[in-house]
Amino acid sequence: MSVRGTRIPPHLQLPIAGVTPPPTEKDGQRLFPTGNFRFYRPVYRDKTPPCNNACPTGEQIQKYLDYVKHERYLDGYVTIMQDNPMPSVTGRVCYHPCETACNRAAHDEPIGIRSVERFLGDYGLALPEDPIKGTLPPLNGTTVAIVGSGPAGLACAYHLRRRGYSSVIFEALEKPGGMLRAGIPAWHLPEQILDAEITKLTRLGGIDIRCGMRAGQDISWGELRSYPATFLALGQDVGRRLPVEGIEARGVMGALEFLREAGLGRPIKAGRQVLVIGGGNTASDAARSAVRLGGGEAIIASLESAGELLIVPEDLEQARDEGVAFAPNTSLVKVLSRDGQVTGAVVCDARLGKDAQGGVRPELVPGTEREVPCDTILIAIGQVQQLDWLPDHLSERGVITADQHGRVEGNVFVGGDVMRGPSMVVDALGDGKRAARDIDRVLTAQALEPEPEPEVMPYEGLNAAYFRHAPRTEALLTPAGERRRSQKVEVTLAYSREQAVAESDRCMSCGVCNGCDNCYIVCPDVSVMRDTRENGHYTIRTTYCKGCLVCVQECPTGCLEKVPEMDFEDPADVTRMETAFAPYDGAHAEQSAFTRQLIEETIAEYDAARTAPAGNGKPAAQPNGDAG
Amino acid sequence: MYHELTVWSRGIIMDKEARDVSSCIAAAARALGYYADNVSDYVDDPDRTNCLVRRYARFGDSPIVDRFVYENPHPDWVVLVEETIIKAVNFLRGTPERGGVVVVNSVRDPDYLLKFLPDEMKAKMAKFVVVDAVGLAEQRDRSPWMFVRNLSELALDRMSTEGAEERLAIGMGIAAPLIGALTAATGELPIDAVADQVADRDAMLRGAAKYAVVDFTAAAGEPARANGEQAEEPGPDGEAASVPATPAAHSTSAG
Amino acid sequence: MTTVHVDGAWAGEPNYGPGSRTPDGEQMLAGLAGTRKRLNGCAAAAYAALYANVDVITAYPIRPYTAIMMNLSQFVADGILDAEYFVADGEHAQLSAAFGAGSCGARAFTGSSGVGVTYAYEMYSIISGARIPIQMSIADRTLDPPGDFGSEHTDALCTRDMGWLMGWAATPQEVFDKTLIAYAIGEDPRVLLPQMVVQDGYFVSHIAGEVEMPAAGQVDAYLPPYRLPFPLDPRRPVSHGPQIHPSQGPPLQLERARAMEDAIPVIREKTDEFAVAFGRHYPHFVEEYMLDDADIALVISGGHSVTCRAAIRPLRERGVKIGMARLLWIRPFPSEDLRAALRGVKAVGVVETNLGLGGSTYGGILAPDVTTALYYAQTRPLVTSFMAGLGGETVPAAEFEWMAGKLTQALEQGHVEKAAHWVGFEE
Repeated sequence: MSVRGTRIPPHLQLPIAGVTPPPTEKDGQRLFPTGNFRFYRPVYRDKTPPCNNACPTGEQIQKYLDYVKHERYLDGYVTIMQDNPMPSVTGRVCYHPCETACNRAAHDEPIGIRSVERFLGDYGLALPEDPIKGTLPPLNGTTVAIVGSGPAGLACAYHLRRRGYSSVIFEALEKPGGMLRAGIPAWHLPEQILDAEITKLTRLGGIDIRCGMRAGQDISWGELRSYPATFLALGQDVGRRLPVEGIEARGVMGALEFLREAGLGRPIKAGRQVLVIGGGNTASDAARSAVRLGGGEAIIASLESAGELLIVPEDLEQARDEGVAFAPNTSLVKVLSRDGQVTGAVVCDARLGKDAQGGVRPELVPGTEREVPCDTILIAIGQVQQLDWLPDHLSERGVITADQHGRVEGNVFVGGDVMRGPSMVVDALGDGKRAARDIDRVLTAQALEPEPEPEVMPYEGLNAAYFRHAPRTEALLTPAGERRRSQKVEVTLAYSREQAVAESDRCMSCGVCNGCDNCYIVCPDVSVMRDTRENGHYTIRTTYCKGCLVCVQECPTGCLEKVPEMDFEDPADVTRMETAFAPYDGAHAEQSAFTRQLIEETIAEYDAARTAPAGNGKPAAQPNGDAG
Repeated sequence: MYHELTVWSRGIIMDKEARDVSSCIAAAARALGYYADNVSDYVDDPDRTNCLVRRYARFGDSPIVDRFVYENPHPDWVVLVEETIIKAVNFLRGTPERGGVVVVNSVRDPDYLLKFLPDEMKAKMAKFVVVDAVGLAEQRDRSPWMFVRNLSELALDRMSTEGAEERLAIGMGIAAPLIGALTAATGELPIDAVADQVADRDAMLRGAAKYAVVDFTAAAGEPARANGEQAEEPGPDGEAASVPATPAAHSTSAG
Repeated sequence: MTTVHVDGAWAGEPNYGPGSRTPDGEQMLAGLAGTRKRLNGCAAAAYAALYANVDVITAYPIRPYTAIMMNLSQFVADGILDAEYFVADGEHAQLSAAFGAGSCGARAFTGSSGVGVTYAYEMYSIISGARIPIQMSIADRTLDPPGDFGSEHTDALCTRDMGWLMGWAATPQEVFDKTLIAYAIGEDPRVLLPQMVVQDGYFVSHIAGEVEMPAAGQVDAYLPPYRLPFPLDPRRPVSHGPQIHPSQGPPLQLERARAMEDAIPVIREKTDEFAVAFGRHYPHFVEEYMLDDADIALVISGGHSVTCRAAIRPLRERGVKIGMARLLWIRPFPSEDLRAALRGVKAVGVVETNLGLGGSTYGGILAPDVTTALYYAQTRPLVTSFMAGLGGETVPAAEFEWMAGKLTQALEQGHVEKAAHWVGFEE
């Protein structure tokens, strides 16, 4: 025999040609570490989706939409609550900068984010037990003073509580909520929802709301400053006066005062012919409330032209449906009255002009004066705050001045309308969140730092081919006739569960890995692994990935990037082969061991089958009892 | 005197560069009267894009007995056509201790590249030479993947990769500065004699004049470092220290 | 495009005009005449086909022979060679097309490697039985498994009994020359047999060597235009390869056996003619190296003979009386020449760079042929064989020394240890 006396050295053994561990298995990848082909390495690096970036509270919108998509509502709710304490409120009243920024608009229509938020908020309120409470740290004994229980104050208190601080909130009115209660009509935000959201916060413990405490009257600047830290969030609730003839007549009212009285449930009346002066959302809210209260008509007279109106489009449309009329480019010249009661107004054509400081300066057109009959006039031309109780240098033109961090002086911070002027609820919520973070920093002697510049994912960065076009699910509205009948009928209706899921499913998850498995599927080399979920949802097997970049090309969300291999500096992170073909000496022997094991297993199975009795397939060994 | 040159490169896209380096060195050695072989890659599947491929030259003043060995058993000249090869393979397998001159095409700092090498590989190096061959080459195209060649040239070159005759001039593109740096750093072959074999003579001379070198054969402690300025005037005198010994260990007799 | 060169009128006797070259081809070959080029074995085969002015090339890629076809495709594309370049859908079709071309009177050139050679297996007997003298240029590659480009002679040797002339070349120069010689032999009307010109993958196909470039006229004179006596031609219809009655089988096969033997004198003649025309002398069948006073000898074919020669020199210096017999042709097998070459040698080792699984020596394919030839010698030497260089592994000088040791040992002991040794796996 020619093979007699031959010996194959162990490192060269390869018993059956072509039988090796497959590269899909770890053993195989160790034997074929083709990672050394690579110039570029795919890296999962999440960017900021435009919605998250646009939201002043920094809600992780992509994340909770993804949870809702997978019907994980509790996770979605908890995700919102990390940034925004009152999703049921913002889910109803937010002017949704997120939807405005949504990349989906470039694809077909933006996602109905606000409705999903409302769905999750209401889901959270309906839970028998607050999932947040158990996650809070114990109180650390430090109490922060907050002025105002509007969205900014409540958000600050909530986020302070998340960091272990307790807070005391001084509220001027007899009920908490600030503008949420006093400025937003119940048909936008039902009172029980607001109450439930506030109760949810006070039940967390450590948040003490003291109503009827007006700063400057019931509590002094000195007392406020005596707290370790103070957050001023008293909003702007004093309507600007309009200096025209006859303005003191009965029936002329600030729109804010009108909404506040209505919001607090105090007796208030509106006539059947209401003239609203102003071109913003307050004018719209006031006109629509007046229509509900008086059952008559309302006209919104604004300096702004129809195109310049500052009313959000869907409110404008709803107002029209409810019978609110518009008189754009119109200025109030004089109020007409009989026996001190308004009977009409003189108006004229006008244009919106601006003075050097950006303030409103109407440009009237002489000779266009005309009379308009009305029994109620609501003035909605902006608001300020009463701040004379503060040291003079801390305020200017009805707002409190602060540095870029919202820091007034010392440990005193400010946020919301009293810093910004009239702005959105969600701005106030964001200010409260940031103030809580910064108060924590100053109290723990950390430096205040500007927000890092986010890298926002543009539509162009997505692989849009992966997203089929699908229309937006519009939230249904109560019919206009029914809306007019009551202050309490909500205008916008909630998404059903199915609608919330379907709408969330439209999210393109811009720049953020949502575990779509596309990389896992397209990888020609089984190098994308989803067994270890870190850095997003997947890991790249760098020992085996050849750097073909198909995954990067085909990533729908754009969260996968290519990074030059030589930029990875860790010397241990190297896929080095001993030779061009073998990763190390003795690799053949490993293949040999693998093959021998397969053969031995097969022989064992074969032997086992032969020792089994023929026919029934039962084990050969019988119980002893049967043997006898 | 006997040297083995192994040029490491990437399949298809940079095969021509590697071939050119080994071809020119072997041709120069042959022209100088040495016994020389220029050997293609046969064991590395050179038709696979990006995979590691090698080209070899060996030359000396006595006949080469084992002409048919696939891989240079004891390469003392090593060229890496592309920098990620630093991480990819033990390119100093078989190289005698302190005997290897390694030339890398990279814009990076030599110390950054050395960081990826284990001590046992560093122990085999006499010199570590970094040359920005892409920067020094005649730029004809912007593609970082193919360096200075375009797709149609690459398609034609595919035939030569498989072993057909060379279609394109030998010693163009980044091969030229690499050959220059290698010739200057090793100092074994006269620069002019090698330049005669290189199509892009100017780029070859630019490579010979501008490279960074870490000299591990320096007398004490830390390896000596130099950059382009010191290497400005390459020549046998200045390079004496880098000439590796030519011990009998280089003999390929597999006895 | 082109080219079955058929001149003359549609009716009447066929008139096969001389192959013509393109102006670019003429010019290029004129420039090459008398020069030396550094070519690897593949390029050398392609240049030889260019000089032979082949009419039809049928190609299908497989490493390592691919480079031959790539080079030829460049010649055709560049207008240097006027030939039909046909890319088949597989080796079976490749050989079929070459067969068809050759049947019509075209000088056809094809080739393959490894499993490509075996994929075309059906065609070998058909082509040789039809006596169509096409040429197949093979660069050896190990048969699968495993996937391996390395040279092992098994691919071509598988077809050794299919009626083709078959011989190995050891250098690019010899590849060039053998391509021309093989055409001259195969196309000779006394032979009319297809030829396999084989070179080792890598060792010959991919390592460059000097190749002398002749003048085109030299080649044309040595290798006149191909003329098949019985071409497929509508002007004089004939039928090739019809079904036969069993009783016609024995005489037909006898004719085929005769054709092989009859080729032997023509091989001698054409080899000698080549030496006159080109000045390079090749032995007819067996290259003898230091055999005159040799006690032991290695019988080998192909590229490894280069290393073998280099290994013998130092052995001789050490007093080992060893020689080498290289087989230039394996079909027809040169029994007579081999006996003559090994006369006086006492122990012979056949270097098998091939795999003959389960054969009479349990080793390779060549040893049985060599042993049979030597059995008829007046004094029979001891014979063994060495399995070396399988899968394309290099056979270094040290292994030849080891073989010499085994032969010396056999000589001392008076018998061989076994019929086949596995070099590298034994003490």
